[in-house]
Formats: sequence, structure tokens, C-alpha cells
Amino acid sequence: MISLHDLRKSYPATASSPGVEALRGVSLEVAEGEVHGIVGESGAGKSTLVRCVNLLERPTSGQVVVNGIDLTALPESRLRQARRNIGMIFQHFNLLSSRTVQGNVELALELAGLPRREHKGRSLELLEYVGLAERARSFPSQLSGGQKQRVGIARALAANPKVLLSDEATSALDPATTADILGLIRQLNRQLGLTVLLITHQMEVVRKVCDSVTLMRDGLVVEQGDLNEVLTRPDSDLSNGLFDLGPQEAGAGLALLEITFAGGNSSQHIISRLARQFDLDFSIDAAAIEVIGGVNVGRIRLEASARDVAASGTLDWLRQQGLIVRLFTPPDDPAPDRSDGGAADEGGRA
Amino acid sequence: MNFDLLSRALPTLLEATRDTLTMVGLAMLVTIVLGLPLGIVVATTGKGGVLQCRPLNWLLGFIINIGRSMPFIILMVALIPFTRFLVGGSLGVKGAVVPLSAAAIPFFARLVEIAVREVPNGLIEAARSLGGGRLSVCVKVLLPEALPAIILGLTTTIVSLISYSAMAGTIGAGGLGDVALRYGYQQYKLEYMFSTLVIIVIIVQIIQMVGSWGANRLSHR
Repeated sequence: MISLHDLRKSYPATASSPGVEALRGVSLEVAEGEVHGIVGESGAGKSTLVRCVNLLERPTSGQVVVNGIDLTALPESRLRQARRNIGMIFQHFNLLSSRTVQGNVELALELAGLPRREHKGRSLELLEYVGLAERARSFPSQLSGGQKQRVGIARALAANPKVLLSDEATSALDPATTADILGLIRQLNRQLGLTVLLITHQMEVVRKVCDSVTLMRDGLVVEQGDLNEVLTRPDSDLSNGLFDLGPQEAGAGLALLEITFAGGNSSQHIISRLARQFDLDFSIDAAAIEVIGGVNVGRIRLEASARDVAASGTLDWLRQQGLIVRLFTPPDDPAPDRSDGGAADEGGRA
Repeated sequence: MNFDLLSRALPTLLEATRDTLTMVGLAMLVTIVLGLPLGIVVATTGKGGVLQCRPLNWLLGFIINIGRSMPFIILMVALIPFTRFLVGGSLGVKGAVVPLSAAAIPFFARLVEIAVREVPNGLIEAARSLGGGRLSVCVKVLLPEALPAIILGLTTTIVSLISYSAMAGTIGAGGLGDVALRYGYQQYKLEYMFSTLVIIVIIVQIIQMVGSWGANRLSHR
């Protein structure tokens, strides 16, 4: 649905600032009906990238194809037409303070050229959909942040777009409201089949709503993939960022077992089966688990006696279940160094 | 100053007040018609503006600066031939409207420019993301969002027009300035001097009140 090919964007140097290469060859595919997240630190080029999708920013080179139309090749008037198929929501909502909630939604209808007599009905229908019909006559300044974003969403949906772009839409909201808005975005995706491209610096947002994810750094794509699949790369920045367990530090004589669930049935009752089968005592050190598409995805870190873990063959059994397992033994242990080497190499036991 | 003196001055004062209001009112209309679009164009043709066109922006800025740098009393005299050509004479209310407008248009245009530039860029972005063209961005987003500030700018402009109109009195425009000079200054009739002052103060207060009220009514920030 969205296909970006080798996008580059550079801003020439001016008297006050040196030139910047915001995008240095970014390619990206988002399939129809998918929610794709772009993460990265500020300055990574996320904002520029999302603005290139509807050509609010024109890339210096590269191709933008949305819904089968090469936007980069369109003249201005056709581009305006095409933009109506691409809704966009913003971090600061960008609602007109001079118009009511309903007026803001109607702005979209006016710009889309809908006949005037249909404005009222359609705008109320949209507000109904986002749950704000009773605030139609309020002004944006009278609304909470979450409500403002709902108006933004209603406005973005006005022309029945196929694609929704979200530019840090939840970054200015508190956690509960963020969850609300993300839920609404998911609902749009499921009910209306909307393809969503969202940029965020909050990994939590990706974990909650995204099917696939891109990590950007310095105007380049560093990592990319489906959420489930990204997780199976235990050492990648993305999986560490998405399912962050915090610093690991095993106490003396204790081993840490880091188990990654990357979907599939293998994660079912794994902890209790592990305990029963090997008669081991565990404590849960840290966990970051999300239900994605009905399956548990994430990581869990268990702490157990290093000697028992080593002796019992626990690792082999877990790997046979199709799980990705890493073992960390304490640094003061005589035999192996803790860490990744130790994880791959079971010979390194105390 | 007693009541008798005042009542004798009253007809003159009333006529002068009417003349001042006519002058200022007409000049205000001309200023809105020409100054408002000028201000919007200057605000939007600059670098990164929706109607970016930097040569035009430079040219209009240059013209506005010329208008703004001219002291009114000199502008007024310098414009006399132009005024004659335009309205067929340089005296009276009609004659005053031309230099008054000429001074107020660039002033108001700058205030409009400031108001339009204050509109957050994100709103323009949002309208463009909805498929809005450049013109509809100006008409549907910039103008309504800047309107409260434009109203305040207009109020300031009208108050300046009133003070300019008094100056116009010196070259035969009539109005309150003329009365204050002729009767108050040259004939030393204090009742005229003070009465005109009081009237002007009242007019300015009312205009500022109405302007602030209007701006507040329109602002929903």
C-alpha cells in the first residue's frame, strides 16, 4: 500500500545552519491493512520520512508510491487529489482554534470538495465514530488532549482515506489516553482496513499496535521487520528496545535464563511445565510480554540456582520447544564469562 | 469656561466630529480593502510561506517600508498632486482620505503580516495534508485563525488614523484637528481646545473597547 524507494532528502546549507541530510536512502514497504511503526531518536529522520509519504516534504530523490500511484510524479493538482486518500494526525493535533469541533471536521470535507449539504451529516457521523458527537459545538480549547486527538482522527478520516499517517500522535498524551488513542487506531485498522504508518519514539506504542517496525538512525534504516520476527533477533537494538528487561545482574551462584517468546504455541504454560519437569525453583527477575495477534510475544528473565540449571538440561529442553534462550551466569563464577557467548555455548557451565 | 461658551461652540464641534469620523471611516474602509490582502500576501510570500515568491515579497516589503518611513505630515503634502488627480481636489474630507489611507495601508499591512505569521505552521500542514490548495489554506486557515489579532491591529490602525486626521486638519481637511488649531491655538479659545481633546479621547476609548471586545469574542485559543 505504501512503498518508498530509496528516499533521500537534504536541506541545503544556509547562512544560519549547515546542510542536513535528513534521509539518506530509505526504502520501506507497508502492506495493505498493516500497522507499521517507525522508531528512532529525535533527529533520526522519522518526521521527514512521514512527511515525504504525502509529499508535505518533497524528497530530493526517490520514489513514493501510495495505493499504486507514484505521488512523486504527480502534478500539484493531482497530488492534492491523492492526498485525500492519505489521512494524517499530528502530535499537537493542529486543530483550528477558530472553528468548533464540528467545524474542524467540516474543514476536511470542504477541502475534499464534498457538497455543502452533506457536511453536517457526515461530520456528525465521523464524530460519532470517534465518540465525540456530544462535543460537536465545543471549541478545541475546551477539550482534553485525548479528545483533541479524536477530533484530529475524525478530520483525517473525513475523505475516506486508505492510509493513515501518524506523526507522534500520542507523544503529547498521558499513558491512559495514549492507550485509548492507540486502541482507536487499532480499531480503524481492523474495521476500516486502514493501512497505518506511525512514527513514534515510544517503543511501547510499537509494542501495542504495530505489526511491523522500522528502526531509523541518522537518516538510514537500521533494522526492519515484522514484530514477531524482529524479536527472534535477541541482540538487536529493536528487540532490546521493544522488550527491555533492564540491566541483568545475576547474584552469586545464580543463573539468569532469558527466554524469548516469538509467537507460536511453544510459550503455553512454559514456566509451570519447566518447574514441574525439572523440579527447579525459579523466581521471575523481569518480564516484558505483549499479546500480539492472540499469542504471547516478549521476553521473560528467570533466576535460578546456576548449578541446578546447568545440571538439569533445562536449556536443551527449552530450545526444543522452539524458544530462544540465553543463559547468563554471574561474573564471579569460575567457569565461563557471562554474556552472549555463554548463551550460545552450553559447554560453559560452572 | 462656562456653559454658555460651550453651547456656542457645540455646532462647530459636532460638525468637526462628524468630519473626523467620516474621514477616518472612509480611510479605514480603503485601508481594509487594500491593506488586508497586502498584509496576507507579504506574510505568505516569504521564505517557506504557502505562496512563496521571494522577489514579490521583497518588492512589497520595500514599498511598505517606504510608506512607513514617511512622516505623515510630509507624506500628506507630498501626495497633494496625487490626491488632486484621484479625487479632484486636495481639500476637505475627500482630500484627506487619500493621504490618510496612504499612511494607514502599510501600517495595517505590517500588523496583518504579524498576525498571519503567528498562525502555527502545523495548521497549514494539516490543511495541506487534507488536500487543501494554497489559496484555500489562506482563506480557510490563515485568515480565520489570524482574525482576532487582525481585529486588534485594525483597532490600533484606526486610533492612529484619528491622530493623523488631526494633522490633516492643518492642510484644510477639516475635522477636530482643524477646530483645535484654528479656535484653540490661533484664537486661544480654550473651550474648543479642551472639548476637542475630550471628544477625541472618548472616540479612541470607544474604538479600543469595541476592538478588544470583538477580538475576544472571536478568539477561542
